[in-house]
Amino acid sequence: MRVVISGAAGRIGVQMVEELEEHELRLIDRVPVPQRKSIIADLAVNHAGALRRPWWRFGSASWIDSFEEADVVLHLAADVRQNAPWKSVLRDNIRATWNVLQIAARYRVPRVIFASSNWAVRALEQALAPSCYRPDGPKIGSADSPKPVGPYGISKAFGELAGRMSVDQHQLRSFVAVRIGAYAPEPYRSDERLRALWIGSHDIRALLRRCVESTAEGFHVVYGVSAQPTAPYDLTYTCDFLSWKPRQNALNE
Amino acid sequence: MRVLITGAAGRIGSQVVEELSDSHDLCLIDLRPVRHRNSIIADLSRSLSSSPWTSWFKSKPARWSGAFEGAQVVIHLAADIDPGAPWQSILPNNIQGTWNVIQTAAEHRVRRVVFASSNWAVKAVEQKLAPDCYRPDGPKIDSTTAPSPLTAYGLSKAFGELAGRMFVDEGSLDSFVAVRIGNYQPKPSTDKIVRARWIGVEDIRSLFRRCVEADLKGFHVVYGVSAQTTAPYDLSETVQVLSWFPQQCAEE
Repeated sequence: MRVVISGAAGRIGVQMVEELEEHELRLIDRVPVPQRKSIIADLAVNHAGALRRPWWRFGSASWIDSFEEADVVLHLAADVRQNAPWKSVLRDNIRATWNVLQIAARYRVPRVIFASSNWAVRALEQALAPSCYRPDGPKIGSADSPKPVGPYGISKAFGELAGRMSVDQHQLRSFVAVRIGAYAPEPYRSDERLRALWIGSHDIRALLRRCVESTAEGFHVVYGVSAQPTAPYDLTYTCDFLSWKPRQNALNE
Repeated sequence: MRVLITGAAGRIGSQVVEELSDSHDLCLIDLRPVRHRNSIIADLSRSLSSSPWTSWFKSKPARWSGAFEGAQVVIHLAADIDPGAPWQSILPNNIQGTWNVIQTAAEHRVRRVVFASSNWAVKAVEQKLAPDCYRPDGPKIDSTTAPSPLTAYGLSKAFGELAGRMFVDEGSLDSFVAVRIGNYQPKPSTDKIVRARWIGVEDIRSLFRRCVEADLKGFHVVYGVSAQTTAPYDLSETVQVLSWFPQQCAEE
């Protein structure tokens, strides 16, 4: 499969580059991806001309061309700071995500996987807290529509809406929004909430691999979180839809 | 009450200005001058600072944000209102502009923002329910229906609703009313479907008056449509939240 990964040099990006090695990968990031051939580009700028390398750098393409004949785009690129200011979020998250969807449609890329975030439903989590952290408490599910907190959260909610729109317009065959909890190699020790939202390296790799390889149609929301029962999310739909199960657990590691 | 109206020179803006000018202290903003009224000419997508050019001429840069001081309600109508508008115009005028307005309102402790959303924010749902939703007893779109746009314009209206809800959830606004406006025209269209979404002059004026004056808290979605039974919207929550009922009907 031809897989475009945006934000390939990022924290989750480098994991996925390793994980999906058997596929034909096209990597995009603002900074070079260590030890890999990649396209250095700013997704907020979609004028092909401005991004094309000068003629003497023969051989490196613009990010737009890299979507040609791709089977799926894994869109991880974003300003990932949870307290990122509006200006930066507008450019790097809202504009860039719109551009990615537009170019995917232009090249008839059938599927886009979008790294959404727990911040897209954070207001819901706050309304349910603290009982949503109890194993038998009320949980947030895949049918819950976005209720973001902060500019970062609203940018992720925007990406979900824009993706659903692309599917409704039949520009994309499928769009999967992955509301990622808190990704870190090791579970958080001091912060209880972050521990409840934790997802480990093994799980995020397996989860995003399933998203990339699944051929289901339509718009879907899934949660990216490991198996600790304190997680505020209901994983039923995620597990059914992707035939995936988290193997890690923040409370056991 | 001190009410600030953005897009005051627009089609709906000029009606709302006339409706409210006797009973409220109005402050008007638009890209263009508002006829026969004092107004602030400003581009809401340019955030809060003015260009070096204007500040060279004036001792103080003209910041439209200053006008929010002391306002109790902001009616945000300013937008690129073309449902087919390209992203290049939607991003500054509707997304950036709306964010700036809500953010500035919150900073100045304005209690309420009334936002002109649109039937385009729920267009995908309408298409899925069509043509049944145009039957009087058909399935209807209601105030709990989450946004499902089909165009950049609709997406920007959905964005405005999300942003408003977020500011209310954060406690930085007391209330936010998103008015999903149908099709505002002085006379109903001859097209059956467009007519189903029609809202007349009298109704849009009384609706916005109620949005300003109604005693309510929190985030609300209401529909701006006249009383024709073919409308694809369920008005029960609109009627209940605003104690408003449409007086016009496209079917007469």
